[in-house]
Amino acid sequence: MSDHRPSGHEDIIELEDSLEDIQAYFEVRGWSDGLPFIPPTRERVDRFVGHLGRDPGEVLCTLAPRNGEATVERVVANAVMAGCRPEDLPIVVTAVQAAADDALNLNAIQSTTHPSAIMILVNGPVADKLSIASGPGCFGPGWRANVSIGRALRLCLFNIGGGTPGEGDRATQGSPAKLAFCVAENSAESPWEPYHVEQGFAADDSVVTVIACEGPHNIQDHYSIGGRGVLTTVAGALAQAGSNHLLRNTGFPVLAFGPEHAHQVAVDGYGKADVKRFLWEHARFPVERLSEEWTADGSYADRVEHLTGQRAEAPITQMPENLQVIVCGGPGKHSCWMPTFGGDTRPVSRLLERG
Amino acid sequence: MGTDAFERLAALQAKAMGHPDLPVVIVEHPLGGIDPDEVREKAKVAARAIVERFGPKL
Repeated sequence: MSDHRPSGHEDIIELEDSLEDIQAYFEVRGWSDGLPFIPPTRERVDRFVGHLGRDPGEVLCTLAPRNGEATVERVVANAVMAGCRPEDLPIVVTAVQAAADDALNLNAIQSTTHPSAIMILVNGPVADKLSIASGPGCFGPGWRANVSIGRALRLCLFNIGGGTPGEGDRATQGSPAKLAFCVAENSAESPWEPYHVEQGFAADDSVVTVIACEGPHNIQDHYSIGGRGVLTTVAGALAQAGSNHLLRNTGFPVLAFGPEHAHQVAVDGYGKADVKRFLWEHARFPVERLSEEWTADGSYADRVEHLTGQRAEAPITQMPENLQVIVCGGPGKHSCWMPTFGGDTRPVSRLLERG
Repeated sequence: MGTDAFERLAALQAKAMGHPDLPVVIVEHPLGGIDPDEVREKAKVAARAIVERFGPKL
């Protein structure tokens, strides 16, 4: 598997040149996500590091809960395993660094019992340049860039951060979204400003955002014609018992409109801010339908009243602006939403390339 | 403190944060979804463990 060991590099493991043996060696040590992977040979890793043009020993960040040092070489080795192309590496590096930002709260996200994955959202010209899917079936399967970039981050969280199931990752059930979760926004078919522009970047900047959230939960609406109807359906879906957003009425949940729903809403005059306001006001869960043990002492309704001025219906966020709205997907009357871990994590956006 | 189901995670995190010998008080899992009286019993167990471990130093 390996040939030589340049000074300053990771330890080299000598294995038989057998794909099966290599997979088994990694699997038994918990170094893979359960899927076969591309062996990170010295030659491959060196070639990829060379393409990235950075010092292999450079420490990019540390990854919780193990607080492992994410060096360039280690991140690249995991990207190789994930099936990335050399040109994908800058996104992977940026996503790893964004995931280590305190605002995302990686220690909690990795070790929580909640099935929190980390979605990588890509905006700007780099998405087309790297063929990161934003249209039909964009959450997968079938898109190499999406799958391999998303998987690369997950493998870094595994192998560098120590987020392996039952150890550093204590998810009660886990989620298939934890295997690979990367998408580009379909800005070309969105009636609204792109997500990264909302965050203060220029439209032609390429930006990587990481959001700690669950996998997509579908919202179909084939019957509404106007925007208000679509938004009413969406609001009903967001007001879901059991989501972390109802725990303390906090967080930054993600709503991904399909382009057709987005246009139905926009053509009726709803800008993004209007959408968020409508959903904040209508995505309410009746407090009386929460369990009695939860609400009996009245403190839950007290908080609801503090946030909204009434005690009967609970909001899912503190304020309208905390709803994250993107547009992605292809034809069809479907949207989706991704609940998050709740109020203890925030989306993190990082500039990849200035436009 | 934590429950026994998460003892290994606590040890991993303590080590990662540079305190491998950090004393951790463990109670039986779970803490959520149980009767308040059971919570009180677990609190007593935890309090006793804390006093045993730290009492003389306080």
